[in-house]
Amino acid sequence: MTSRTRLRSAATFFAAMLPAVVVAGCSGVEGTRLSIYAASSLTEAFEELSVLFARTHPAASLSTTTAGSQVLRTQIEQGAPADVFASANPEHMEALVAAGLASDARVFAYNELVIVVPLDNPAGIDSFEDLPNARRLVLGTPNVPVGRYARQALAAADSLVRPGFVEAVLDGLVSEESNVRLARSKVELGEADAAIVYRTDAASSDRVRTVAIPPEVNVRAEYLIGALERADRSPLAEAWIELVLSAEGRAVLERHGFDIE
Amino acid sequence: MSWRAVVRMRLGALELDVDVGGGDAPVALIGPNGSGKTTLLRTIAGAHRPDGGAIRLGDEAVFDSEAGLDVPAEHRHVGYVPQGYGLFPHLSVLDNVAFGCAARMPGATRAERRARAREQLAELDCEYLAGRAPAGLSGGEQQRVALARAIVAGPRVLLLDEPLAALDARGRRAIRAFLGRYFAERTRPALVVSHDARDVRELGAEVYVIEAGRIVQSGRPDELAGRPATEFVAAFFDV
Amino acid sequence: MRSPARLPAALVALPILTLLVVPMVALALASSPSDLAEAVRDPLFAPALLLSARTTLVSLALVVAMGTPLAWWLGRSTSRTARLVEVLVDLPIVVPPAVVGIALLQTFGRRGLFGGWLEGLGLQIPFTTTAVVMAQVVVAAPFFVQAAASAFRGVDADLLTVARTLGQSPRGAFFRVALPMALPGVVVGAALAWARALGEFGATLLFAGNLPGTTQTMPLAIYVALESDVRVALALALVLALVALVLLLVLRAAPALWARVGAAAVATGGGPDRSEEAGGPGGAGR
Repeated sequence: MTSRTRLRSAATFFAAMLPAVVVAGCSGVEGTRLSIYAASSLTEAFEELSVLFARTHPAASLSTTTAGSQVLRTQIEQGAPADVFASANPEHMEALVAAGLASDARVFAYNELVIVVPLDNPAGIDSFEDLPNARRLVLGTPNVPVGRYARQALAAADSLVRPGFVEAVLDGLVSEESNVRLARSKVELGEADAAIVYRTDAASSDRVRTVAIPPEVNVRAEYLIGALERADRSPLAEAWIELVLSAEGRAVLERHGFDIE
Repeated sequence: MSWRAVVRMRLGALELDVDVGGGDAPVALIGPNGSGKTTLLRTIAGAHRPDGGAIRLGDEAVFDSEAGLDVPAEHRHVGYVPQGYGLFPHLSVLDNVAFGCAARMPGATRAERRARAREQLAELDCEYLAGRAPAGLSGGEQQRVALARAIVAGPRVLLLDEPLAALDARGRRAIRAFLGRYFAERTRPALVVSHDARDVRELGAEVYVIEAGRIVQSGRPDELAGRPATEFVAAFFDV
Repeated sequence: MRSPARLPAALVALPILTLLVVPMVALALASSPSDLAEAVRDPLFAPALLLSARTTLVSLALVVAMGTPLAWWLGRSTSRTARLVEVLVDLPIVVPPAVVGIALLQTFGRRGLFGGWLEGLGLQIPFTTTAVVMAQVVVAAPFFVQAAASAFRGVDADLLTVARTLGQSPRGAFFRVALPMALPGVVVGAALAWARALGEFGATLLFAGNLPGTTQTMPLAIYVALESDVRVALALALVLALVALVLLLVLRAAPALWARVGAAAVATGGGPDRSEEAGGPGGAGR
């Protein structure tokens, strides 16, 4: 190694260490921190709820981690320091409850699926039946709730639209994303012809156009929230769940496009 | 055969402006460190392109700035032995010398080239080194191999940069005597850089003194010793 | 007789050594042989392994083919342009892979700089295996070019001049003298580039997408497997780690191996016509 590369390596090493040192020092006052793990589709709604929560709990320091529910579940199973988990489908929450990692899980919102296409609609998809036109279709992976729901809906459509519909649609599949927001972003960028995401994701983006999925095949996504069983679980966990289930919380969720009943 | 190099160039901080030449007998080039000796040798070999001047080797002009002529190094037919001898570490002694045969013997098989290389090594009394790796050789042995490699290609002019510098006292005496004999026995135009007066006297050569890129004196060794033009010349011949 | 300076040095090295080695050991211990056997049969496994093998080999070939002339120029040139290019070549190392992926999308995507042009030619790059190779080339090339340039830089110019005076064209001097001499460094660079390509994740995910068989390389498969069957993820991770380990060993052994091969070739004079070497007390090369 020349001395130039050696110096650069040293500098990179210390630069990489810096965030770790800084973060380690910011653990916050004991008892006022709250770590929420939430499905990606809840990003904006939970952001607004955090603001509300801060008004009634000014000393609280909130951190929200969003990702595909399956990723969060795996992290929690591996010991991630979360206090509350909000999942986009029952399966992942029930798995945690069965493993004794979560308790008292309750349904708090519902969602449904839509197709999103780029604003200029390059594949000319104007209705659900047009979906096979998409030669660049993006779905969620089979494990992320939105991916699983999408495949359910497509399977149901086989009998409704025509046999072979699912096959024709999946023929245009070019990528499986691990969370719904990644799928949506491919459409926003214009790279994908279409993606199947939640209605709430379509609503929160002004760079996509929505195509409805018939209610006969559509899926009702159930969102569950529960506190995680940890020795040092934050006492604020219950307070947060209370807020989500309260009238105020439900109003926020409804405003972001979720169904409450 | 005669040769002449008129070179004007700037390389980094060095400004070279020289006019040197020789005939069948070797010519010595002496001067303080950084005066441009190695640069001149490399330029004649074709590693650098002068800004101005002309280089003629025998009948052929290999460089002429006014005519826009610049013959590439591989066609100049010079033999260059740099400081440190420049043996290729990844080839055996035999293959190092055979490397030099390729140009002289186009279309020859590897066996033919190796045979010729062996002959050349024998001429310099080092055939026994044929299978060895350069790294394991003594300075004197490397010197002779490098010389063999340069010679086998049939060069018009030999360019030797401090051929004795890396040797111990015994090696220097041996190689000095060897070179003296070598040049006495045959006509081989050469430009030899040296920093030792004994080498110069042994070669019996015409001498050019270069300081800061310019020739400050030239002539036979006794002439220089008798009337040194600069302090360096005086010190060199220990006057 | 242990020098007093040795003991503190060992203590200083211990923490980081532990951090580097123990996780690999833990990974190896995490899977039982039956877990591994089952994981290998998982439908995720074989396509990802084959895809990684195919794409990284192509990427490596491209990196070496295109990177060698560049490395040669960078290693021998003293111009300011060369120094600037060196910084540019280093960019993909300091830029996060995800950013590289987005940048590639913005260049070759449908709405990217060359998007319309590519579409006109009937070409699509995102979501294809080509995109995987491109992402790998971009992130791996700097490692190769840096190492190769350094190796070329170390070749004494005088040796090249000698080669030229012995009748070699500049190209001949490169292939017969410079490259053989620089080879250990060049090989190390290639191994580093290959390892980087093998582990590439972020740029691939964003630029090429994630589709089994087409764009789902090993690192992507591990990520997806983590979400469904951790055992498969562990097995994939172990295989990838083993491949990386082999590469590392090649890296360390390459210079020594090369020296031994070279010396053996030198000692025997290499090639056909051994009858030539009958005479002389030629010993084994050093």
